[in-house]
Amino acid sequence: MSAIDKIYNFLSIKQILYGLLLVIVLWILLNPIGLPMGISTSTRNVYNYVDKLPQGAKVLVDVYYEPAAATEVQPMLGAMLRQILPKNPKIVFVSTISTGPAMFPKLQAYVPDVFSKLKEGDDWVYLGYLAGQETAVAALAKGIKEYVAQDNYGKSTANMAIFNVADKAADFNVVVEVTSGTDPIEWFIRQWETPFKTPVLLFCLSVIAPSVQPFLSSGQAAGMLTGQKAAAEYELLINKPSAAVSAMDAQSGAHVLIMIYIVLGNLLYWPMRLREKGRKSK
Amino acid sequence: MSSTLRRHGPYTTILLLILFFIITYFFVMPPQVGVVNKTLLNWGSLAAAFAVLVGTIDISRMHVEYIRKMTRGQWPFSVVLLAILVITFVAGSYSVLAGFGTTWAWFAWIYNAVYIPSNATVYAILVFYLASSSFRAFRVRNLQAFLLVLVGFIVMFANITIGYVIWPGFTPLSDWINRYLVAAAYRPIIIGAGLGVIITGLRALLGREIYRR
Amino acid sequence: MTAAPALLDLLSAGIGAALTIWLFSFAFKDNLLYKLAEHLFVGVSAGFSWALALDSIMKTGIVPLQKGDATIIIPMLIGLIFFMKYFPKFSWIARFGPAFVLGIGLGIAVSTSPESFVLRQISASFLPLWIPTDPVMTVTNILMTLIVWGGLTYFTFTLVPGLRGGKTSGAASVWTRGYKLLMTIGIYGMMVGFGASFAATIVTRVAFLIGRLGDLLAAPEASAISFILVILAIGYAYRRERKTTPPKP
Repeated sequence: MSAIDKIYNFLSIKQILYGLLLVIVLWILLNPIGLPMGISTSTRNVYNYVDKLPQGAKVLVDVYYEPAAATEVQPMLGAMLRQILPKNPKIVFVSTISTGPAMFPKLQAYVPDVFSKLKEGDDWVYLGYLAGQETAVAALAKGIKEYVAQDNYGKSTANMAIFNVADKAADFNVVVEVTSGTDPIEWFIRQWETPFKTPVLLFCLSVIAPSVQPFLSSGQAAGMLTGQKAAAEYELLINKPSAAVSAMDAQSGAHVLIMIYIVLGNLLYWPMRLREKGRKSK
Repeated sequence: MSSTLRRHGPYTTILLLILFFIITYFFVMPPQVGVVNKTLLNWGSLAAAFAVLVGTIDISRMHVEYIRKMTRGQWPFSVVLLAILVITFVAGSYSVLAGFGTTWAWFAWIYNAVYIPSNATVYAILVFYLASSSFRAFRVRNLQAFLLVLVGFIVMFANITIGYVIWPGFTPLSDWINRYLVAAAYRPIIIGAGLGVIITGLRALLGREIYRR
Repeated sequence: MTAAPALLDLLSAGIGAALTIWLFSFAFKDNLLYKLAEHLFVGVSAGFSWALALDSIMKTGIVPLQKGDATIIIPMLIGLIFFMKYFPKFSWIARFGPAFVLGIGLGIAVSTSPESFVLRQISASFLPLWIPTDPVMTVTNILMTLIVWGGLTYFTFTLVPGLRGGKTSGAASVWTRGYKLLMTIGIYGMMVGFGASFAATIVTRVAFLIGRLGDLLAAPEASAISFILVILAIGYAYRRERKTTPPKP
């Protein structure tokens, strides 16, 4: 067995790679480096868009993410809420995924400074999980108060002041879709943006970003934040670095390890392949 | 009558509903039709919630069967599963029926202690498989693969802080790639998906989606 | 703050750490603790989904009914129809439930898809191919147009000139060559998309890992104990495998 084969077989032991990945990420989390980062145009566009929202802006936020995805999208949502707070917004939170009600308390704990300044029922409300997927989204667009009789905490929506100004799709200044999947993006674009022209901002996982770029490019989405990097950039733009910024060095470490493995895999592959070809031609 | 209802009832329901929503979307209708439209949406969402209940019952039945048959290597775990399912079911049902919504303390404790960390970990474990498959399968065999790896590396460097340190130009370059080239690459897929939805609707309208015995 | 809530928080963090480590252990070796964690997860997910669905029914059905909206009984009955599948004699009635939900879902999707998914996307593909003051955007627009049309060509499996036999000389040959060129551009465009998609996937998966490791660091004692237990479980799994696997001849 040649040296190349030995190195390849050693690198192929997946437990070594998994162990290295864990060790590197853990080490950097415990010893952050604090490397600088640039700000992308798309993050700046979202920041500027939110900045230009009027006083008393009415926002619908769909909390559509699982616990795993919270690492990426919760910081974005937290940063947006902090940015919009001085505008005395009216925010209707809803979840069209069943994990939403588990994540909403985490959001409240993440940005307690926001929720302490807003009054429940007047400035914000959380409707909890609504089954039905696109049907639920379409029903929300036609009238929230009539569709949802009580909020996530069992309180009646009938007399909540917020619904006097933010009840139907046309009342809202923007929808913020905070999502770990592409489905709710399609639902809101089909049921809110297309018929009622309500702008939609997308805060999504990095993994789904390429597949929803066409919506941004066609103007159907007013802006898009994707992934932990965008979350970190947004935190820097509002001058409140938090969870996302502190995770970026660990991202670097893991990425560098994976890139090294890809390069090594190819560097070892080609000599082995040429050697096989030589053997076969003999 | 019964066999007609059995065979054609569900299809007719789908047909009428699709036609109703298409007509009310594309034509101006009296306000009363708008009320019916809104009501049907509310009803559809409410009915869909029952499907989730059915899912929970199905999974319970499956594991009860494992326990009944004492399936080797499985039944003790099925006991654990059903135990925690019943506990969560009781806590959740109490939380909702007692007027707490989903926020009763013990129910919240269960999903904070068990559901949130395990849900997060199940997705997080994929990073290991991604890393090992990148090493094993990512081979630059031709120009197409080289382009894939090149763009992948550019975007990867743009996504990490060390990339900015190496060359700040990665960020605007990655921006340009994502905003224009990637959008263009995925646009045919979105158009295809849209056409697929239309065709599925047409097939449902024409009764082609129904399994015929 | 009393001791009980603090103890419960500690217990919650401990259970979370244990489940995290035991589920992660699957990447190294399938073992009993992983199976235990997996079944706990599935069980609590099923119970949690039940509670959330019940909450949705409460909010959009039972409470309006209590307030006097009698028409809500109709969708409640339609929802109950779903359970007819458990009674073989009446299982045919159960098809009406999904038919109702599906009909509404398809109806609203089909109404808005032509505009949102097809027309808006196609209209966004018509770009100015010559901007004298901006050469970068000119090149960008040309590339975008070629990639979109190339991708659409690639996904067209009918009307394929000359590639499945037939005339390949003269005008047909030019047409075939043009078609092939456009398709090749589409493939290369998609490679760009997939490369970006791969890079984006890594960010997300690593972010998930960072989230979990961050939570483990917040409960170090529980994490350490769980780690030791899982090492023992993996060792036991390897030992069992060696005992049950027949020796090689």
